[in-house]
Amino acid sequence: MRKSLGVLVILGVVIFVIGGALLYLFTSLGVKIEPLGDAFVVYRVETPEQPIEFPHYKHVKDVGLQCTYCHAYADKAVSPGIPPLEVCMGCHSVIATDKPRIKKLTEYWNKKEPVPWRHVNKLPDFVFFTHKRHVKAGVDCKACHGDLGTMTVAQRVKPLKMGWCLSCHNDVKGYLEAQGLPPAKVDRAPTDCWTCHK
Amino acid sequence: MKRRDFIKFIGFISGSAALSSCTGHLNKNHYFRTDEIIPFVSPPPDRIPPDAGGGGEGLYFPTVCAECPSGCPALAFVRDKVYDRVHGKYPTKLEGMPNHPITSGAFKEPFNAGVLCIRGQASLYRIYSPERYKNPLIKDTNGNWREITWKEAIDLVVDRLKEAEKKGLRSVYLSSRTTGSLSHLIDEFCREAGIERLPEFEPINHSAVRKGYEVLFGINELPVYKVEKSDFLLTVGADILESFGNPVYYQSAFARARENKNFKWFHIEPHLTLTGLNADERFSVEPGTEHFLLSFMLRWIVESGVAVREVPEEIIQYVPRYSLWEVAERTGIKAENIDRLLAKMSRARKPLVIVGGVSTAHDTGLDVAVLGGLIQWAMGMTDDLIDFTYSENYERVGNFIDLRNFMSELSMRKIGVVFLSKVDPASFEGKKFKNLLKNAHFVVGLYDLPNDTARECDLILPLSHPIESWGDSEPRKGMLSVYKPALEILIPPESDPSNNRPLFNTLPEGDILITILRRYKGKSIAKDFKEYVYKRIERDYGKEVADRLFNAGPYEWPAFNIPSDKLPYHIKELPKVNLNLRTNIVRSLIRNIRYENEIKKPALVLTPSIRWYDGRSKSNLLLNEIPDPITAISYGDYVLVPEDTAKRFRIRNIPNKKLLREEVVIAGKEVKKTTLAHIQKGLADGVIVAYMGTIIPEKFNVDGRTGELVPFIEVVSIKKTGNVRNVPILSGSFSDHGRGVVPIPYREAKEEHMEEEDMHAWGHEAPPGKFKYPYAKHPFAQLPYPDHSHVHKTYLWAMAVDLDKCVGCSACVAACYIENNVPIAGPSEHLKGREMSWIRVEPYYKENGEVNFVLMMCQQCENATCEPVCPAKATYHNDEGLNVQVWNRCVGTRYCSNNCPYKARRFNWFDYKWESPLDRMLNPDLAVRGKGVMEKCTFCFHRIRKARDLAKDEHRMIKEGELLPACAQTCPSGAIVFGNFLDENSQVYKMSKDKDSYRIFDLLGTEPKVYYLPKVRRRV
Repeated sequence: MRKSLGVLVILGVVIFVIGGALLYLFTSLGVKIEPLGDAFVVYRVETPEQPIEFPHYKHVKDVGLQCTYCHAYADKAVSPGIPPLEVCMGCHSVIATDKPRIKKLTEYWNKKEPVPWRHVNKLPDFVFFTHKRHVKAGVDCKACHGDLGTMTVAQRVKPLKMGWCLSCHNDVKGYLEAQGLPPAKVDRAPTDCWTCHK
Repeated sequence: MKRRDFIKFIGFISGSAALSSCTGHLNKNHYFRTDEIIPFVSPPPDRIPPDAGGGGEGLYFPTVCAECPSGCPALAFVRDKVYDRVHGKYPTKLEGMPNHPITSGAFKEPFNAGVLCIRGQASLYRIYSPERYKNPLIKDTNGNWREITWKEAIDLVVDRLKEAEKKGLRSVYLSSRTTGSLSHLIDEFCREAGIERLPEFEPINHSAVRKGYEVLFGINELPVYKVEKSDFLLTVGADILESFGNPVYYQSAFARARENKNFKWFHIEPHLTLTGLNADERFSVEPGTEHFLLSFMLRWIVESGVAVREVPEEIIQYVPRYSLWEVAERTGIKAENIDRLLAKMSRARKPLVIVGGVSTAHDTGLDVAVLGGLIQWAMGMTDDLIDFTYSENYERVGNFIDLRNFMSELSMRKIGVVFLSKVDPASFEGKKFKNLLKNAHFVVGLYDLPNDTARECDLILPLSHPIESWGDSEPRKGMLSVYKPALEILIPPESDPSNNRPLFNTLPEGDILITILRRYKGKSIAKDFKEYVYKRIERDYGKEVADRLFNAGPYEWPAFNIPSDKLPYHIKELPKVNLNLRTNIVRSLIRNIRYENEIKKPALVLTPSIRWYDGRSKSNLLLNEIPDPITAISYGDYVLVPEDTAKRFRIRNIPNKKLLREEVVIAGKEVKKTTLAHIQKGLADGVIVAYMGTIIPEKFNVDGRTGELVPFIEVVSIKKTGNVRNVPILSGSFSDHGRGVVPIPYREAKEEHMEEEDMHAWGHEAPPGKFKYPYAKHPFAQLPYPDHSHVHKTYLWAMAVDLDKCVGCSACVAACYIENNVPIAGPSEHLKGREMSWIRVEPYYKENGEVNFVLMMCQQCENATCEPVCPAKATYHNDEGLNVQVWNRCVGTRYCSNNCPYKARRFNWFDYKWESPLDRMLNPDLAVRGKGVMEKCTFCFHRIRKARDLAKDEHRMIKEGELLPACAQTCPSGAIVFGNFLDENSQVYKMSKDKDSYRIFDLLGTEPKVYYLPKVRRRV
């Protein structure tokens, strides 16, 4: 009795340690596990290194800019668009010009060279994804992009896998509720392969 | 290691290898999405919504097609793409200009689009060709090309011009057909610089027809024949679907005329063309005897009272009195056929006769043209059916006599600097022209692509394609359209258009001339060609028109139904041209007609083809990949040999070896060529046909009166070499073996008094409860696959193909290749049967040489045979009735392809590569499929998606006429109709309920969603 209890305790400790170690490893690598219907989706949070560490929180939270101020095509086109340097310089020719990142930006501007941003929420080539339809349906940007108001450098925080997409397409209301986001205009979205596969 | 562990280990290795090989599926050479997103520095004025490889947005820019001299106005669908961190505007597709009289096609309301021919669609392969001249090139003394800068090149031209001036040599400018401001500029350039402008050189110059009208009415011009208004058409030699005038217009006009069920078309030609194969009846005429027929016709219409105008007696007295039998004997057309033709013509309300092409290109060509013109005049066709007012604008085009005059001047060493602009006389005059060019002081070539003549130049000034430049064109008199750069590389800051660059280091012809003139004479006629064009239009058409045209466009998808005041073209009100018969001149010509025939048989006839025109498009990759509709042969050179001649020379198609053709040597005084012989049904005995560009004879004859090239070359012998070679014939069979692919239409069946039973057998008014086809009792008539029909609620996409209007021109095939990123497989793959086309044109020959063209693409079967056999569920049926193929689900078992009765599925054997810069035309709307993936026609699902997006914005359904697949949009005949089958008012639904409509292999129970209307030959 005692012996078996001891074994159990040791086993528990071992599991705890291994689990803890794994959890530490996973979090340090940015791996996340999220429930998805009856199963789980395992994915990695990705933080691509950007030529300029653009702080989204500063613009979204502190300044209070709308997403469409910079990503002007988000509700108009397939791709939301990355703001032209002109738009950045519209403010930053006068604001915070002494900051190192802004100096870097001004350098690009003076050289008339575009900033080679890294693609954060990149989808594979066979996927068609239109921002316009999602925004027009009232899906909050946070549903796919996470809360950029808390991010320093943009991160990919959602799985962006087919099963994950479908979990929302099958039950828009449920998914958004679970995320604590306002409901969209639709309850279901199309699930035909050719809606997204191209 | 234990055995069991070993197996586990191997299993793990192979499993992981298989898994890792499954990750691809897309073409690794051509990903659209990259790791970087490049923003603009400052956005350009006509900003295309961002794409980032996701597909979707694009804008239509007005442009012009430059693949052949017709100059059809077009719209380029332009995408924003990034290469080497630099944004660019890249056209991924060309469409015809909607609502334009030339390119509006034969759509029925509410459909409305612009159409282009096969060459127009394929011209993107010319624009993005890796072969294009990328920099100015100078030939050094060893004959090697060396790249130089533009400044050096222009300085060199100016120096040479000055040298020539000093030596007293005359400089000349020889261009191909130009219209609009460019033509004006060349005139001004030549005048200011003291250069002589030669008549424009076009191998197909219609000079006999024009000369004929000059004799008759004093107008040296090619008119427009309003085929759509006629109910009877007789074409003598005029290949209106290939090279006569503007083929896009004539094909649409023919299709519109076909709407009238009593329209009847006779075609008379010595050889065999696509035009002839599409006529209701085609008669082979002995080469060079057309004047017998036409003089008989003229006398007949005058004497029988069919003529509405009185032909002066002084003319008619010189028209000989041949009997019907004599004419039949001389021309080789049966007397009863001539009789029938005349009877039908006399009964027609709006008969139309078109004479031209090969029938006017010989020693009696002018006589044929004049006799034809007299018939047109006497029958009143010139009043409303033949339009001299908005004519084809061919006045500046010269002929082969002009070229030969130039050559004789060259031989006298009197010529200084020769400017050659986009002409290729060397592919007709051969070595002689090349040698003579050496006599010129300096030869400047303005070319976009290398050709036989360009290689002989001393200096190459690379030209921008019209799609990369500003300009205007007047394809017909008074019809002005302005084009603006659609292909541009946007160098930051992009907001400044002066930073924009063309694809290569090229310049438009206009800008080159303005620069040369400024440096040579110090005279600046305009800042650049754009300004010149604006000023010219302002002068000739007014400021209002100039402003409107320069600000027109770009347009948003789908670019149908653009209000006409926003379209980038203008049609000027022109005074109607009045025709007065020049009796005296006509009389002297008619009097001197020699009723003889000097063309000896067997003869080789060089003819323009639908793919290569006069041979200039032969270097276009896509126009080799798509098979010729007549022979279904894609790559390679061959001649068409008639059956009788083949028998005489003991040439045969090897039995049971479908692809093998015998090699022959065709020899005569002026030609010697080793080529392959393809035996062609329906070709008259003794006439061997070769397409222009495949054979250059040692010497061409030129008709002394009209300057037309005589395409008949006497052949003395055809000898077999004993070799046989494989040719890529992409048609499975030239006969449908009675399987109902081309059933006998109801109307014809009725005319031929078929038995009631047989008619039922062919699917006409089948009694209830009976199967439609004779084979329908087959045990597989009902497939064991589930019925899908219950799921379609909103849309059921279906297509109807009116084969009665389809002429087999293959424009749809080219459009499909470009729209859907279909790769070029190449000749060796074609020989293995691995073609990649999603849509194909299949010729089915009857015993009498008549041909029926059938379009074949994925039939989107309701009970598709491909679906249940797919182990990966990569293909399935969706709610809208489409047979879906998901590229990245496909594991490449090819079961579906084996199970498809239509052979509509294509397998990627390789990761095909679009050599740079060809890859820039790839359409980001759909992925480029990689090795091991099955692909097929999707009914252009990405266009459906776009239409749905627009409809959703307005909370409505997709309307009829809002959506067209690429094939339907470009069909000049309007033969392809697409729509929602659930809408009973849709055209496709109505066509499917036509008495004659049928589906291919309906007996299998696959329930295809492509309906066909058969070709009806009007025989009465």
